[in-house]
Amino acid sequence: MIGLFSRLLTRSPGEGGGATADAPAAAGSSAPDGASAGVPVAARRQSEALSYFIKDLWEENPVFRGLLGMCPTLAVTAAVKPALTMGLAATFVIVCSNALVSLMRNALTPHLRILMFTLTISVFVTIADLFLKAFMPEMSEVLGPYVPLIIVNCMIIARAESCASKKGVVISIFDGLGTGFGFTLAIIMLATIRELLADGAWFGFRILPDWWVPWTVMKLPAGAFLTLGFMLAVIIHLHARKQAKQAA
Amino acid sequence: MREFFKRSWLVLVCAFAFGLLLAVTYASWQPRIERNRILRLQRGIRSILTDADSIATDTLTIERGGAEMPAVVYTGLDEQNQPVGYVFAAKGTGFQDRIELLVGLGPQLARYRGIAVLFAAETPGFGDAIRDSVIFKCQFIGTPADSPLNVVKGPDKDRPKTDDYEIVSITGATITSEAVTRIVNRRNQEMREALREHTGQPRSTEQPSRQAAEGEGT
Repeated sequence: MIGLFSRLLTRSPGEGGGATADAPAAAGSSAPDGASAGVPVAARRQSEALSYFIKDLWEENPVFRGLLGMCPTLAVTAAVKPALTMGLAATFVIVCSNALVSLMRNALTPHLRILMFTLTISVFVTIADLFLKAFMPEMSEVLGPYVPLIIVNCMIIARAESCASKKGVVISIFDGLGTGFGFTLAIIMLATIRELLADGAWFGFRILPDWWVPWTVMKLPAGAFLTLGFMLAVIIHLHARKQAKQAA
Repeated sequence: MREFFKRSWLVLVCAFAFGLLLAVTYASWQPRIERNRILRLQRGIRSILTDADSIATDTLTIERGGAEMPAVVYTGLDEQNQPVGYVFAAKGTGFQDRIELLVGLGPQLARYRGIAVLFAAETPGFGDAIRDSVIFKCQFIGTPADSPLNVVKGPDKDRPKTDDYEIVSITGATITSEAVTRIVNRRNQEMREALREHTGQPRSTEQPSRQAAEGEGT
């Protein structure tokens, strides 16, 4: 059994899964990451990890570009505090699950793939849930069932499938960090708009003057859909403008 | 068998390792989770029995659906060890999740001492007001406990609230207000019977007397 594990950790990623479909073109995704690799390979791997991080953070943001993780995006963005907590919890889960899936990637067979992803994700979700219950009980109550629901968040399983099951540990961790922080950034942006309009506050602190009439609808699901729709329209518009500039 | 292990060794190893990890995590944090639960319970009891010097815990037997069930009751005692009120837990379904409450009764069991919310995940800005709305929660303080309470929409300027058994719902959260009142009514019915037997209080079919109301410090 120890031999099997050591083989898992030492085999190159190319043996198990091959190149990813969504690997950044400039990053040299087919490079081996074995221990014997020289300095240029290490530098290339570092550059690939960083490019994954940046790409997942904004260009391929899971919420705005991938429309993934919609359940917490709509449900916990009524205020910034729960949104930040949810974002950090999801980041913890995605980084840990990506790292573990990457470590076991060479032992993953097609019939076990999804089962192992779900098993791995559920462990870290349970740990995050227990942590909130132990150290942030009020926040755990506010987030309610949405923390356990991270298990079925497509964003996490998508990264396990498209990156972690095919790439090395370092790249997978950076990919998880990029996706997690990208998700956190997106839901905080949504929560900021909703909390400002609904309560005239940000992070619980009153920002807008007293004459501000609260838009109660922004606290409701309708407010979540309206804000998300508005933000998607802005992001798509900016993306289209950038593409038009690049084409010109 | 060999083929089985060959195909599933990864699941078996990971299931064992993950189970161990979760067991260690749970064992480490469970005392803190339990302490949080007890603190929340104590805060809730103290918010209802504000004049109690000490709290005693008893387990009563209640009847539900023909079966006997245990029910914990917290008795607030004054300096002379006389009861100032009783608190018990109640739970039921709210608008979008379960609601867990603490319900307080006066020493004569004639009037409510108030309610406290232990758990609620109702709609932010509407139903979650049951946790913070002093106006809503204060309606239960001193309200007669001998008959079921009713929820009314209000305030109605043409029909001022005159009935003690009426609870004015929270604007935009009628279902949550009704759920809270229903949970209180149902649990009160079960617990008052058991508390009467426990304390030896006589059964009263009349409206709560003025003396009893005054005695319960509303």
